[in-house]
Order: sequence, then C-alpha cells, then structure tokens
Amino acid sequence: MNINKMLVLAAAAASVTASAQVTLNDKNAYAYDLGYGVEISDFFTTAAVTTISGEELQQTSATNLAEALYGRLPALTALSQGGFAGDENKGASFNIRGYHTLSDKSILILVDGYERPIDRLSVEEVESVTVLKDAAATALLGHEGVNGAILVKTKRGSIGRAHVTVDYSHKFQFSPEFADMVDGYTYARALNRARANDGLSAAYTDGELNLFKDGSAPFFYPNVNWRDLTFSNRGEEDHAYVSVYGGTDKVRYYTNIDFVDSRGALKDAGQADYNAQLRRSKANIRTNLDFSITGSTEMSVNLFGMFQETKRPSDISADGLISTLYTLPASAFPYKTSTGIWGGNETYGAVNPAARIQESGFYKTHQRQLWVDGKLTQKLDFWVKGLSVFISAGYANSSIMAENSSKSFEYGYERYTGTIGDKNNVALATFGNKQNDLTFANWVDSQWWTASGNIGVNWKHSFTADDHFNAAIIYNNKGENRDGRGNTYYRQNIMGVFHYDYLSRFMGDLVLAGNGSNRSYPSKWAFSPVLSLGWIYADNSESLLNYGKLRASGAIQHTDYMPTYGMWLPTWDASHGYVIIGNNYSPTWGASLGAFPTTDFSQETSKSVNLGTDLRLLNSLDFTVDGFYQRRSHIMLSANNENSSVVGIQSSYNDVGEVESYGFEVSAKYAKHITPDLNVNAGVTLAWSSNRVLKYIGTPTYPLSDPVGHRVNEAWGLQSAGFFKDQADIDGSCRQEFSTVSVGDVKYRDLNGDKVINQFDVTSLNGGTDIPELNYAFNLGVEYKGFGVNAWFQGTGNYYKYLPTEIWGGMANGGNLSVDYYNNCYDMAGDNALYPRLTTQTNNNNNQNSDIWYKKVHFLKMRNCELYYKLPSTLLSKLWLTSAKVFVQGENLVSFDNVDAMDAEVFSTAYPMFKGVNVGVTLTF
Amino acid sequence: MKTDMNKIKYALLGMAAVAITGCADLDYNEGSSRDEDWTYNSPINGVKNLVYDVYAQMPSEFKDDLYGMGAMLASATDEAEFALSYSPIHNYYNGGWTPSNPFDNTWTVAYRAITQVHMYLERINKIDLSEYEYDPDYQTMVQQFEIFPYELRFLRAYFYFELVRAYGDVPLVTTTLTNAQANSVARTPAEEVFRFIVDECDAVAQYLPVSYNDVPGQEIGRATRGAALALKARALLYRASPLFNKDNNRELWKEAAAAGKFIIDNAAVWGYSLSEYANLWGHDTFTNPEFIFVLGTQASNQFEKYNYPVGVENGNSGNCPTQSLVDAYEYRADGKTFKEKHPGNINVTTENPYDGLDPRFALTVVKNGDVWPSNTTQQLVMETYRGGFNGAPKYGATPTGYYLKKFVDGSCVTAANNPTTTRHNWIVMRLAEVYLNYAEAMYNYYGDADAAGEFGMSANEAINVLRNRPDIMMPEFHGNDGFEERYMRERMVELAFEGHRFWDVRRWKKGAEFFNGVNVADLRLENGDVILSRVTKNRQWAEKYNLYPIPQSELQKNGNLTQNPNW
Repeated sequence: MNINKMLVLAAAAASVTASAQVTLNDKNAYAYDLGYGVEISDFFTTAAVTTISGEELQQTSATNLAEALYGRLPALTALSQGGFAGDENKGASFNIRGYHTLSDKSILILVDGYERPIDRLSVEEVESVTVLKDAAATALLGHEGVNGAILVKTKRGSIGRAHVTVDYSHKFQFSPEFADMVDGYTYARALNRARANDGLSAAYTDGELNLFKDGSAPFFYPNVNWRDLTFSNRGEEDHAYVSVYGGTDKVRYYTNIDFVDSRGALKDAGQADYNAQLRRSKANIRTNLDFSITGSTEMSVNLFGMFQETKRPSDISADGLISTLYTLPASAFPYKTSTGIWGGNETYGAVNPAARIQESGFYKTHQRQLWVDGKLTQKLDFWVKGLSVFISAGYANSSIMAENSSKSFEYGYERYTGTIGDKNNVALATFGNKQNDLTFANWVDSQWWTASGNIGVNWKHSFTADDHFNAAIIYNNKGENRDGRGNTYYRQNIMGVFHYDYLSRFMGDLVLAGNGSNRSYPSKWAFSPVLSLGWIYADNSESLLNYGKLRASGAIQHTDYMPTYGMWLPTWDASHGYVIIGNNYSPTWGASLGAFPTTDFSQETSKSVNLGTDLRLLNSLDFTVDGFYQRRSHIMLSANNENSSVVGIQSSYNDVGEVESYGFEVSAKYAKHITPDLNVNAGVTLAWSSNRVLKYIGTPTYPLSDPVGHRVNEAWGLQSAGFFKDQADIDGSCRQEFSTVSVGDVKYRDLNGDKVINQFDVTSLNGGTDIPELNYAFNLGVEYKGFGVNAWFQGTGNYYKYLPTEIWGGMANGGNLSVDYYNNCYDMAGDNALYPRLTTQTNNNNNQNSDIWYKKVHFLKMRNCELYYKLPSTLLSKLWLTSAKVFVQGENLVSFDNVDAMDAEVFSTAYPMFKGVNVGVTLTF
Repeated sequence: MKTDMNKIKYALLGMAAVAITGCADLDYNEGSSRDEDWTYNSPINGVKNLVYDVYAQMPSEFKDDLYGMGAMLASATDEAEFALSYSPIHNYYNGGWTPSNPFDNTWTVAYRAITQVHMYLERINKIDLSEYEYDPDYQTMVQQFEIFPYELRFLRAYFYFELVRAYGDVPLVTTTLTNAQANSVARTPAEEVFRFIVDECDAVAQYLPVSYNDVPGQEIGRATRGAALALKARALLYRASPLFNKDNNRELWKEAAAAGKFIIDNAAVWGYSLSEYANLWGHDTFTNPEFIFVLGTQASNQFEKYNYPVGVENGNSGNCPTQSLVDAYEYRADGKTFKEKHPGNINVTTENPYDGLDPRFALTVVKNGDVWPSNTTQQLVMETYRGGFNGAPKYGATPTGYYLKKFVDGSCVTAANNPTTTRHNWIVMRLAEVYLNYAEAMYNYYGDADAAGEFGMSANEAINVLRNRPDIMMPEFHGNDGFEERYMRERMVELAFEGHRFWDVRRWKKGAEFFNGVNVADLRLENGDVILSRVTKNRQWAEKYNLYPIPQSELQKNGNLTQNPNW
C-alpha cells in the first residue's frame, strides 16, 4: 500500500535526522498551507516550492525575518539596501526569479495565508518559510501572486506539557565599509586644480595650502574628519524572547514575546535632557491558539501585536547622516569656530553633522501593528464522508505616529579680513537661528489596514483503494487601504481546486480561478486556469534513489495592475497651476481633462510553464531542479511614446508590452547522521534568470535605445572611449552634443556613424540589470558531541550599480571628492584614468549615462556563521532543562566583491551594513 | 452534542452570510467624479476653472522656474550669467542644446493650452447656467461668462505667439485633433501663424473690456482689450523683423507701427500710464497702470533666495548682470555709454565710474560697495571682488562682479530667523514696450528716426517719452546717427530681465554680434583699490539658434514635421 510506503519513508527520514539540527524536508508535511483547507503533502505536490524551517533561520542573528532570508531560498533574491534597523522600507528587498514585466515587479508576502509585512516579524515565531515559485504554487493567490510569493508559517502549539524557551543575545556591530574621502589639504589642492581646469583663478595660495597641510590654522583652514567626529563605527543590539507552547486535546497554544533593542553609531548623541542616538526598540507579542471544539470542529485564532519606537536626531536621519559624511568636504568649515559656534557657511548651509546630531532635538516614531486572524473548520462526515467546510477571516492594521522635538542652531565661520594670519582682523559670519527650546509637533505618519475573509467547502474522496480525490470551492474576499488616494484595493476570488492522485505515482492538480478586482476594467473579472501534473517515478526507501518526482505546470494568470488609478475615467481635474485674479489677489487653480481615458485593453496576462524534478538519494541528499518560462503580455504602456504633443492631451495607455522571462534553479541539500555523535549537513543552490522585452510601444526615437530584445531595467548609456588628451584630440574627434568639452572630458564612441555624439549613440551597456541574474548560495554545518558550526554564503553575479554621485561626483558644485575618484581621475592618472578631469562645475558631457558610471558588480558573502555548544542531556536534567545552547553568531564577516572602494551590495550613501557578532544563550525548560 | 452541532451550523451560516454580504465592492472607485458633464454644468468649479487653467499655463518666470534652479531667460543672453553651473540654462550656449535636449516646454505647454481652448470653444453649447438662474450672483456670472470665449481666443493667440517666435513654422491647429491627426499635421508657414494671431486679436479686442474694474466681480488679471491689441502690435513687430520678414517687406513695419500707435493714442483713455521704473516690481504692483498684462504670484521669498548674493543667508547669486549690460548704460550728462567712457581697466575706487549713470542702472544692478539687500536684518556692504565676502572664489559667488537688483525685493528677509515674503508680478506686456515697439517699427518703415509720418510721432519722439520720464530724465534722442545701436541699447536697458532680449536679438538676427560671448567684470584689490577689468566669457552661437529645434521625439511621432534649418 502506497500510503504505508510513504509513512515508512517519512519515518526513515525522521530517524536519520532526528537529532541533527538540519533535516531534510519531511515529505509527509504539507508542502504549503494557504489556510484554504487545501492540504497537499510535499510528497504529492506538483508545485515548485521550497521550504526552509524556522530552526534553520535561527542560525542567523537577524532580528527580523526579512533580514534572515539573504541567500536562503532558491529563486528568492534577497539583497540588503542598508539603513538603520528602525527605518521603514529599508533592509532586505526581494524578487523571485528576476523580473517578469515592465510594470509592477513586487512579490506577494503572506503570513499564515494573509498578506502581511515581514520586516517586523521576529525569526523565533516562524515555523517555516516557503517560496512559491510557479503558477501551481500561486494559483490560489489571485492577482497579487503573479510575480511569485513567500509564505510564512508561524509556530503552533502541540499536545503536551508547557515547553518554555528563553533566549537572550547581544550583538556587537562593527566595521561597516565606507568609501574614503580625501583630507582637507588634498581637497584644497584638488580644488585649485579643478578651478584651473575650468579656467578660474585659484581658490587658495600656496601659503594657504600649507595652512591646510600643517593644520596650524584649523579655524580658518580646517581639515575635519567628519566621520570620525560623528560616527563611531559601532552599533549594538540586544535581543530576548520567551516562548511557550503546549496544549491539551482541547486547546493547543503557542505564545511568544520577543524584544529587540538596537542602538546606532552616532557619537555624542546624548544631551543633558535627551539622547538623540539612533535607536529602535520593538516588542512582538504573538499568541496562536488551536481549539478542538468537538471531534469534528476545529478552530484556530492567531493574534500578533507589534510595538516599535524609533528615535533619531530631529534634523538628520541615519541615511541622511551618511550622505552628509560623504558630501561634506574636510576643508568645508571647522567643526566649531574659535568662539564655539557650530561651523558652517553659505555654500553648505546648516549641514554640520555634529551640530545636527547634538543640537537639533530628536525625532521619534511609534509604530503599532495588530494582526488578527481566525479559522473555523467543520467536518461534515456525518452527512457526506470527507466533506468539510471552513470559514476564516483576517484583519491587520498599522499606524506610525511621528513626534518631533526640534530646534535650530546657529552656525558660522571666521575669516581673515586683513592679511592671512592677522588675528586682529578676523570677521565672524553667522547664519541660522539659535533656538534654546525644543518645539514639539506630532502627526500620523502613515497607516494602513487590510482585511480578508474566506469561505470554502472541501471534499476528500477515494474512488478506489489507490487514489485520492480532493475538491474544494473557495470564495475569498479582501480589502486593503494605504495612505493616499487611489490606494484602496478590493478583490474577490472564486476558485475551484481539484487534486487527484493515483497509485501514489500520478498526480494532477487543476485550479480554475475567477479573480475579481476593483482595479480592473471594463470586466471586473479574469479567469485564470492552472494545471499541474506530477509523476513519481521512484519511491523506495531501500534503494539508491529513494524518491523521484517529475513536475510540470502551466497556467494563464492575470494582474490587476494599473499605471494610473482610474485610468478609464475621463477625469476633468488636471490642474496646471494657479492664476492670480481679482483685486483681493487670490490664487485660483484651474481644471482640465487630464488624459484620454484608457478603455480598450486587456488585463496584464501571464502565461507560464514550469518543469521540475525532485530526487532523494541515499536518504540523505535532496536534489531539485526547476526550469521556467513565462510570457507576460498586455503590459500597459503610455501611448505618449507614439503621439505628438500637438494633440494637447496626455495619451491613454496601450496594453501592448510583452516580456518573456526564463531561468532555472538547481538545489541540493545533504543531511546525515554519520555517527551517533556526528551530524553533517550541506546545501547548495544556484539560480539563474533572465528576461527579454518582446514588444514595446511606439517606434523608438533613438534606434539604438530600442528596449525590444533587451532585458527589463538594463543599463543604457554611451560607450566611453577614454578621455580627451589635448585640443588636437578634441578637434579631431566627433562633436559631442552635451556641453563644451575640454581636455580630460569623456570621449564617447560614435555608434551610429553620423560623426556626432548625441542621444542617438545611447545603447545598452550590456552590464546586466539592476538585480542579479545569477544567484547562488551554499552552506555547511557540522555537529559533534554538542559542538556545532554552521556557515551560510550568498553570492550574486551579473548586475550593475550606478556610482553614487555623492561619492563619485568629482567635486562639482561644492561636492566632495573620494580618494578613489581623485586617484583615478584624468588629472592624476592620465592615460590610465577611470574618471574624467576634476571640475567645480556641472559637466553635462561627463554626466551622461555611460559605462564610466555604471559598474558591473558581483559579490560573495559569508552572510552568517554560527558556533554553538549544546549542553549534554545528563547535565540538563539536573538543571530542569530539556535543552541549553550557547552560541556565537557572525554576520557579514567575510565578503569578496569586485569593488575596492566600498561594499558592492549596499552601493549607496545609505546607513551602511555592519559586520556583527552575536553572543547568546537559549534555554528550554 | 446534537445541539452543539446545530449551534455551530448556525454560527457558520451566520458567518458565511456576513462574509458574502460584506463582500469587497469591485465597483469601488476613488477616481474623480468630475467628468465632462459635471464640469460644464458647474459654472464656478467647472467652467470657470477650465478658463483659469489656460491662464495658469501662461509662462511666468516668477512662478514657473522655466529654466531651472531660478534661472531667468536673461541668463541665456548678454544681460546676465547664471551663477550656478547645474542650471540647464547654460545649455543654450554650451553646445548642449539639441533636438534631443530641446527645451520643449514651450512646445508641450502651448499645445496643451491651445487644445484646452479648442475644447472649450467646441463645447460652449454644453454650458448651462439655467440652474443658477435664481442665484443672487446669476447676472454677474452671465456677464463674466460672456467674455470667456474672447479671453480664450486671446490666450490661444498668445500661445501661438510663444510657439511662432520660438519655432517659426508650427502646425496651426484650430480644432481639437485625434491622435492620428496630430501625428500627421504639417508646419504652417510662420507668416500665416502671425496672421492668425493678428486676426484673432483684432476679432476679440472689441469684445474684451478695457478694464475689469467695471465688470462685475472686478476680476483684475483677465485679458483686456489693451492686452489683445498689444499682442497684435508685438506680433506684427516680430513679423516685420529680419528673422521672419525674409523678403524685407517694408509695409509690415508700417502695419506694426499703426498697431502700436493705436494703443499709444488710446492709452490714457484705457487707463494706462507710464510708471516710475522702481514701481515695476514690489509687493503692490499688480495694479500698476503701466501694466497691460501681468501674471501675479503668491507671496514668497524664493526669487530673493535665488538672486540674493552669496554671503547673504540663503542667497544663491542666481542671475548676475554682466559687464556687457553695464556697458550699455549711458551717463546722464552726455549720453555716452559706460563702455565709451571706460573702455579699458578701471580703478573703481578712484574713478567712481558708476556716478552719473542712467538711474535705471542703480535699480537693476547691485555693484561692489552697495549696501544690499535693503532689509536691515541682512544688509551688507557688498564685496564682489576676488576674495571679497561676496566674490570669487567663494562657491556660487557672482561670475560677473555684479548681482541682480531689478525685480528683487530687498526688503524681503531670507534668513532662517523671521523670514518674510513678498509678491512678484511677471510683466507680460507694459506700456513702455509699446513705445519701443512703435519706435522700432517707425524707424524701419521710414528709415528716419525723426520722421513722424502719417502717425504723427517719430521714433525719436516715442523713445524720448520714455527718456523724459521724471525718474529717468536721460538726454533725448535726436537724429538718425547710430539710431539702431542706441535703440537696441535703450531697449536692452529698459526691458532688462523682462524676457525680451533673448527674442529681440534673434529676430534682429544679431546673435553673432551679441551672444557669441559676454563680458564680465573681474574685480581685484590692488593696494586697497578695486580694479575692474573686462573678461570675455565664451559662448557658442550658431545661426540655427535663431529658432528652436523641433523636439526629436516629435519628429519621430509625426513624419510630416520637418526640422528647423541645421539642427
């Protein structure tokens, strides 16, 4: 009997990995549970899904789930954007299998079946995370799931005594990567050079340069290391949680209280009456309850609350500070004047980062999230065997209250009005408004809510002894609202779900879904069928190949994406400014038809196929390969690209865009109990995905810039051909139609052969897109007699970053100068230069998008590593403990990339990513 | 057990009922309900706003930041140099102005506004005020609404003027178009576009009120008869100018002179009079009787922030008058120009070269040693020389040695501490321009600056009206000798920073003479004296710059459009 075989297999797998900290997935477990009562085991699933357990995620020291997913799931690209822990919309960004469309590229993130954010969810409360890659996996998710989804399952109770786990850890954060900027003397010299290049007189005499060099007149010729003054390079984080689970045959519970407190790296943030240090304090409280009300009635209720408070200086955010540290030259002005006023001048304004940390007051946010969901399942076997119904609903809301206590400060600088060095003739220029008292204001910064209700009927039946049939009809209904007009979504889905398997060898799933949305037009409904088939060609726990399955899925799905809200309405409320009319001088805003309505279109459609196989070898090695192809059509693009402005009204959209995307993932996971004391595990994944625009709107104005045939979000620009060497070189080269060029400016290639360089020479720079096409990861773990070590690596390849102008702006417009730019600019490096000449002015020729500024990047990082010791059970029993673990975890300790100046991943002026060492203990009673 | 079951069943049924009835509304719509019917049936928020939206798109250098970072069109001429290098204004002369980077604001905004006029005129029968018949303001409304179509036709003519002076031949469209039609229209010869403008102005002028003081609502700021006729006179002057008058038809000058004289003759009747130069700007000038058409702005100190000197808190130097402009000012004593008297280096400290200049100089330009701005919180003695507090090499300091005073309200405080704001009124047309236009037309028609001809006022007489204003009192113009040069100087000085020079030099086809570089003042301290020497800043000029390039993307969309010569 096949079911027995399956159980044997599951038991074998369980026994092999019983005490190993990493196990192969239990094939008997549900592959993924959307909460709709559709319960397909990993053994039988025909969908492309991969799951990672919460236990494995806890090997990281991440204090939120989003940050625990770097390099952990095949096809899920998670990259850090930097930012301080409490910042909104920073941290990890996600996509699944790359880009599939020119429109909305976001993925869907679900927690226990409901759309929820995971950047505030703790890792401890997570049972597992599943990436839903193909249409078979996202078939029940409606319009929102079409770009792929992540499904988080939270922990639940189980029958038995109360298990109490207590954990505390402290994280030391250190050594973020920064690009170095030049010192005051170098800047001053470079400024003279730049001004000479611009045909301007020198800013400083040799005597003045010497004052910068020897530092003898620091108030007049300063050399301030702003980073050393304001940034400590060290942060820290405390994390603790208590979780309890257990239950009786009537009630099972899991509850968790998680607290995390993160402090930033500002120097001298503490004042007499307040402390403006970057700080995030957050508590999560979760209770998941399961009730067995009667023998046939099950109910579950999940409650989640999150309370977060953040703090920063009023006048400068974490990202803003880093940006200032990059943009403010060391020679700009002194830290303070000799009279004790904050340094500052008319060129840079009130930017002194030390002043803004110490004397601008503080800004706080208070964020609250409440999530509630519940489900009631009633078996109706008494009426029809195998029949059950369920009803479920979920609601979540969030609000962020902001509170600002601010004051402004006075700043200024001194200058010699007589001869340089004449202390009797010094003038002080001051600016700004010194306020001694804080001004208080508060407001609601943002809020959202989302509500969802589901009702469904399930029928399980076996027609013969060797088959299973499962049919479900599900109705789903949801609403969502975010700040701002046009951000309200109402959606309904009616789905018929059918599963059949025969002989435990052949499986088929069919989902027929009607997806309704208030954002689609003219038809509110789209029909999305998904068919997937599976064949288990091996199922034998004794042989070399324990398990083998082939999967195939194909689907037509839709999105309800709309480029402009209400685009089908002829709306006469476009205003183009005001006019002053009348003796009372009152401004009047006008109105007009904003755009031609878009009425004749189809919803963006995805047609996709996925082919995959899952293997298990020697009961210790899982191997999965998936390949996919997706073709997205009816992508909405603005017809402004094809209509002359002479018509006078903005064009409508045409649904003509088409994109194909394709790729594959290979993953292998090995877990083995080698001797009773020795467990090893290892994993490797490799994912590659790419895409191609097949159709775009209009005829391209610049033929070489035609997006058709290229990837979505490719780097476009001019191809450089070195730098102009001399006037003869300029005279002998093609005219460049961006601005007047001089020696040391970028010379471009004439790609279209018309002897002038202009927009017609802009082409694809073949530098990849803004997200990596190649993603790989591997991990290793060994445990011996309670001692264990784990390491997780993430690698990326083939994508680009644009060199941030704050760092590579080459001192134009009072900007700063990085060491990398200075050493490699035309003035210093000549023929070997990477960057154009120094200039104090905007140089439109050099600022064109080109291969000078797009840098192809790749990196390999040891994201996490862990060293731990689990106390032996003999000792534990005396301490009333069932387990005890002490650990040291590292994050981002080792990184290899192709960027010398700074971190290739967070390649921006965002608050940087730190290295971290986390020390802690986990006790279970 | 059985009863429990029933309870649950009922509970389930109840919940299901809630779920179904509380279902998400797929017809939910947050879009605006202001559709066409609503608009044309709502007199104030609908119809009136349609008209005002066309007004709102009239370009105003004080309201719209048309050239980026506060740059004025003057900075693309020899009047000024913009201090900050990141403004796109520099593209006009650094080689970066191309069909791909075309300054296409005029093209897109004008056609949008023109289309809005067509739409209104074509739907005029949909306007229904009958619902408001018993409204106390009904009569006012009716009287105001009767004028709307004529105002809109004036505005359409104005936007066509904006187009034709920039692009020359442009598609002359007088009805709404479909996309397909718009993608195939051809360019209409410039003379036909000018003719359309003139005919439209003639057609609507009689229906437009002389002043809105007598029209219910007193909605000052709407188009008047004077505005329509002044536009006509200006359009005729452009039409007669060398750039557009290719076969040098003298009669066109005559037409322009006649149109100008008509306004001059009626000015007093219509309530226009020349104002003091200093009253052309300031908080309360919206109703200055010299203004024929003016665009107000809300009170703000943005213009002062853009143009106050570096060194004044929140000052950004902005549009800095050039030495070329300063050189054009004459001395009151003998009518000689600054340049004529001081051709070489000047010891500013000992020679006092600015004493006795045309009073418009001190109202237009801030020079070294001036106390500026006038508000006591911020005022400084200007040091615009090298190493001075407001001079190079300080970042963003004036590249010309001067700062802008005209239109800048020196009483406005831009400091962080207790800032103040003021209104700025962008002059579209004013009476002095009418006199200048008339003088130019008369001289070109008769070839004699003293010829009063059939209009009874010679070019010199017209100009002397301006020079004899009590606050100006500059020596009169007499004779023909060097008239053209003196006239161009007078026009530059009088209309400085009002957005004329850019177009005047183009229509005169004098770009190579005036725009091929500008002179700026390099001020140095030598033994305590300030020494001024002229430095020429190179600018690129090409004859193709006389007309704007048609945007490359427009050529791509419409195969019937042709590019202007040599672009």
